Amino acid sequence: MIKDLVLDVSVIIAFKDKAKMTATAASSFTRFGPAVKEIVLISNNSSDSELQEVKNLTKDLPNVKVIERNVPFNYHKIYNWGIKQSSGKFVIMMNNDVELVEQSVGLIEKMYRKASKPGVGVCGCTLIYGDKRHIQHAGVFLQPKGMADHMYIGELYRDVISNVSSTKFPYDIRNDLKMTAVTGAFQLVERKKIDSVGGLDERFIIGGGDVDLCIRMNKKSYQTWFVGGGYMIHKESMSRRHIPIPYSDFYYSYLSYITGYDASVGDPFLPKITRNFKYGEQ
Amino acid sequence: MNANEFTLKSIRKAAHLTNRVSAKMSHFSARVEGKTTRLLSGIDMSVKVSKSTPLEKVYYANIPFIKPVMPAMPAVGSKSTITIFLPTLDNGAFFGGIATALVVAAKFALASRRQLRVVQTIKTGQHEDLSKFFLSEGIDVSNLDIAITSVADRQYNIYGYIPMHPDDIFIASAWWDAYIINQLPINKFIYLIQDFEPIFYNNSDLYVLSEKTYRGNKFIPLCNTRLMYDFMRERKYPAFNRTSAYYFEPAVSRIDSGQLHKKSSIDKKRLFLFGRPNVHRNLFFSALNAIDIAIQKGFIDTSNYEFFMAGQDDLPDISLPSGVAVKNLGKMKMADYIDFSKTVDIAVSPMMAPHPNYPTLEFASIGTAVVTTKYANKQSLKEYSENIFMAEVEAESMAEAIKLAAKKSYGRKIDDIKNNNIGSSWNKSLDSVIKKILAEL
Repeated sequence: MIKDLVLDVSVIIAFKDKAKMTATAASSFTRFGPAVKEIVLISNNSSDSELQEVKNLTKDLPNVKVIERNVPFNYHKIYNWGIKQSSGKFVIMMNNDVELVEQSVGLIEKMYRKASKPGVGVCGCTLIYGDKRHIQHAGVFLQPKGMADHMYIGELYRDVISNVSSTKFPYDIRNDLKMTAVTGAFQLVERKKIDSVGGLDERFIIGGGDVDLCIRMNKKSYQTWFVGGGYMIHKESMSRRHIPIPYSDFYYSYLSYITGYDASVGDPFLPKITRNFKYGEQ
Repeated sequence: MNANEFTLKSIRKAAHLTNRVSAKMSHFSARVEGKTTRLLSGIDMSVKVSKSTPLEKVYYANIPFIKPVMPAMPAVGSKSTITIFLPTLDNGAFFGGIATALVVAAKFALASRRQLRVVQTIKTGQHEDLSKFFLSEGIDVSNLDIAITSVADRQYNIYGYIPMHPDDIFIASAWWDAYIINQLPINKFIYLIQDFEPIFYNNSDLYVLSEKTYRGNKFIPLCNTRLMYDFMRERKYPAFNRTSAYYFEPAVSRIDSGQLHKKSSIDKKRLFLFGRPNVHRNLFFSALNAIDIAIQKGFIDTSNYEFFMAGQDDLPDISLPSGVAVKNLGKMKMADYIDFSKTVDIAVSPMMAPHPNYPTLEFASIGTAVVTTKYANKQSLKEYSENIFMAEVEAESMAEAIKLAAKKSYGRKIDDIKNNNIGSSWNKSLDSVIKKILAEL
């Protein structure tokens, strides 16, 4: 691990309460990530006590600043605002339930190098559920008869690695792969490139804007890449409770996704995943 | 009674009692299940289930048919479709508005060389052979070119998805389907207007929501009949006051199946009531009163008439104060209904709506004298047929119209068939207007 090299990256993590989880997300950089220019923690309507605890827990971490943005929750507005409050040449948009672990060592540096190339836009990576066994995210594909889904979600990481090139796991997640999108739970992108498309579309409220961002950047010849090898932990529950998604998110997602979609093969970058969603089959 | 007999009777009694208790328990548990389901789903708010309930849970539990349908990516290999939203295909046979909506959609599919997709939004039905239905209407669509799907099971927390090809064309007929389609990410849809649907409701949320569907500008109106079109235009809804609002006249003539039978002097004439008390705008009870008044006033010679009604099964034969009984034939099979129609001398078919109803046109097309009602701009149906007699919606006025209908001779009724202007070909009704709409989309 090269700690003397500070990457010109601003890590932006929005949170509401959950002080310990948020502090762990930030501190995991110190343990398993590269040195970065800054980590910006944005409180969105946290309680005073939780906000104070975040400050206490992160006060000894280098380059961490805690700021507040107390507006009604809108992922896209908060991260756009957060990007403006940061100064790194590159930005990482990260959920507060994502954590770097031993297997993350070197991964961000790899993503950084990838994202530095002229034709590369957003970069993402493998995320594993909190059980450290099952895949939460290995890139996003546009889903025929649906909207978008994570490749290999819910599959055992071990199985995916040991059955590479099988019908079920046609793509090797140890390699870098071009993708339609990568999840907004962890995205690394060069500031000038995200600025060139106007950032996240704030018409989205809860979900869809992360995929939309990637699609818009793809169209601008800033290709989205999934960077293989290593993983981070995404502590999202495998059995999520129902969170109502506003209809408008579906509306704008469709309008965006359809522009990056190929009805003859499904997802243009992962056709081996989408080929089974054929017309006429339930 | 010997011991064996006593034992058996005892066992039988015990079994009987057990059976009654278990039946009561079963009934009770079913009621408990129903009540708790309603409480949990937010339909029944008699018990406070939680501190507060999300609006959408209460909203869509009580107005489920406007729950949004989520857009989705098209299936791999799919082509563009004509997609019609319909409440259900449950009936096995299709009549009236649903039948016309299917015909319109099929004609659009053929004209635009797209596949036909039917989306059921209220109830997933056991549909019959649609291709066979279309053939009976003179339209040749293979079942292979018809896809049927359903989003009827969607709830506030269970999404219903509709895969959308970018070139799909959507058609709605019922207002709630227009409401849903209006929310989809499309530029324009076709709104087949077959009634002014707010009149189905009292002043209420449903009235407001249904009427709102006419106020948008994201649809091309296609009205079933010129009268319907005029009615909507008079209300100054923006979409209806453009040049791109259309109408067609339905192809419902039955003349190809034969004309009104001539009766011999000893045959009794027949008066028929299109009787559907559950369709309120058919004014069932006013019509029964009208028939009774017509008899009491001597407009109808009861010794020379038989009285029938049909359209709904769960009705008894009804004895009128004037002494005659109106026999209920229930829901008839189409072939039987058509045969029967040719024996009806007077049909009473009220319709408290801006358009003529199909039975009125069907009967008039074969020479039957039809009594129907005026409403708003629908003051005369002479343009369709001289065999149609218009009345106000009150029973006394309908009785007067029955008088005129009874006076019209068989010969004059048959003579007037040749002046009828009731279509019998969907191609003639729709081809031109469909071409114009497709050019506009």
